[in-house]
Amino acid sequence: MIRYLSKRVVFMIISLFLIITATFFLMRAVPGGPFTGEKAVPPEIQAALDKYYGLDKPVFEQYIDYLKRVITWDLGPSFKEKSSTVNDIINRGFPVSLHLGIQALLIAVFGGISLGVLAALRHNKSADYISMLIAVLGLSVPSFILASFYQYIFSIKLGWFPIAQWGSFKHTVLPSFALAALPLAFIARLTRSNMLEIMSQDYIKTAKAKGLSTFTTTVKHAIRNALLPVVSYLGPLSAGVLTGSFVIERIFGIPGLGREFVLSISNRDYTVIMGTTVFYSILLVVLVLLVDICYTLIDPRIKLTGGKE
Amino acid sequence: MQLTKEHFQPISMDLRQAEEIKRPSLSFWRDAWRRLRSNKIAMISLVFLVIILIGAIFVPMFSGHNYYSTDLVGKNKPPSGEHWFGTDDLGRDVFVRVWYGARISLTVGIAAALIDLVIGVIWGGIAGYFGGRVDEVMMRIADIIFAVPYLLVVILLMVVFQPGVVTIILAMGLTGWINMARIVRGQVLQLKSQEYVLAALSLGADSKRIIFKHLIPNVLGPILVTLSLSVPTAIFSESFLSFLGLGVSAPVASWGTMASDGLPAMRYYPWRLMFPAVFISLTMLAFNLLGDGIRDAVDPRLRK
Repeated sequence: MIRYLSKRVVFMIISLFLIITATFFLMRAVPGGPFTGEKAVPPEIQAALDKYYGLDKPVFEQYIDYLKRVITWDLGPSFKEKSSTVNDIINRGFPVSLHLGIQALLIAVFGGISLGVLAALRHNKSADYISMLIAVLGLSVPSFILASFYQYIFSIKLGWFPIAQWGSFKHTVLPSFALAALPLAFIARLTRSNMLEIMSQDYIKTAKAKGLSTFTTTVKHAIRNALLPVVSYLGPLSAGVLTGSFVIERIFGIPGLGREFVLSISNRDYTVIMGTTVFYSILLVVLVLLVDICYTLIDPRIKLTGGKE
Repeated sequence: MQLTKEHFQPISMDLRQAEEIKRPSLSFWRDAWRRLRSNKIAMISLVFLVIILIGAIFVPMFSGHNYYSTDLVGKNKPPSGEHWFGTDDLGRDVFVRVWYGARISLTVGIAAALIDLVIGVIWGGIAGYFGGRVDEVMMRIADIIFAVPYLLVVILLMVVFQPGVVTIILAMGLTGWINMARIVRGQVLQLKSQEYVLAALSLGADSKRIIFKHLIPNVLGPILVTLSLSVPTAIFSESFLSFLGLGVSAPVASWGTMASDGLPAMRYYPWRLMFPAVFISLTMLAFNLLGDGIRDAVDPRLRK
């Protein structure tokens, strides 16, 4: 276990290092600097700006500086938003995104599992077909279309929820459901096919034969095993919720990190793009590692041998 | 009726004929195609996709309108006999733009999936066949690329390079092949210890020949399934990028850019959002359903 863990952590650090390096050099490769604008800046001011931001040093030295600053978690100033640093932007936006993301995750996990279990128990009956119809629609309709559809029905036509902005609980309902649709559909399909496989296993027959009710058999014996693949899907799931938040936050006008990221892309605010990418990557790589560890703790059958066949 | 001995007569029995196979034997692919054809949902999806493909090629050619002409007097007009899907905020015909968008979206989806296919199959095939250290290094590289969310990488690449159809295809193709490589590698690992590989080896076939002539053809089933599901992923990513303003630039339209442009006007001119949205959703739905159908047809054991 310890050997496996340390190996994983080493690989994690290598991949983070590569991501930071790639981001840095990709951003350096962009034509034009952060201060090339419509107005020509006098050369003295340009030089002073370059000096202030460390842009007058050789590229390699800047790269080392950047690595050092990432390690000390100082992601530098924003080029476009003069008063904030990248750390400020992350501290400001991330709690909102986290709130939205956790709500969406909960909806996706509970909704998806319920739909999947229902479909498997009512295999080839109408409940099965309806659940799988919902699931395939969730996989097919892009989230931004779903989000605008929700806005049209529930805000404009029915007036149940506010159309955009962020504040009360009511504001969070539509974006959470829009964000949850895709992972919900995926989890529902995954749960259903696992449940079907497990329901035909001998130990389920044994449980039935000794007179347990359908409820006990399902909850105590079947669902537990059917959920394992769902746990392993939690890593990619959080990645999906995270990238999904870029569009959802834009559509609903939510002041989260996803919207900041999209804004920084259209403003070409390179330090913010870099900082946010690095932040997201660290978040995800750590999450995936945690999920893998949980997975092995839940299922003792899985041997940690470093992924060899 | 009385049955007597005269009603019966012995027929000559030929032992050789007893072993004869009466029905024509079905090849694996013909069998798969037969199963796919009996799947109504998959066939409807296939027909729908063919219609979209033909429409994407021919509608912009033969329509009286084009995708770029603006008409500031006739802007934001609802659907009518002249403009079947209405016009957008610059008076451009939405019907032609939707079909033109189909060209872009389908091109991106299919081309990106093909790049995935080529890189993934070669990478996974080599890693799986050689195994050992080669496998370890190649799959670690794949793991590292996989650790960063796909869309984040594509977004970064799109920020750095000139946005356009080719950039989108390359960005998605270069980052999306990991899944394919993993599947091919897993299958090759299982297959490489089979006798026919040993036979080929003993006949002096080199590694290239064994991988591409003997192993890959036997992995075609899973490859096809992965391919059919990576097309909708690519179409989705393209519309996602276009929606964020990182896709194709005006006046060229894709479904994503059209939906993005139509979104603010949803309340008053809903057709500008509705038509591209319906087209994206139905196409993705058809690809997903067809992919499910192909999976069931290629591997009947998976059918649930």
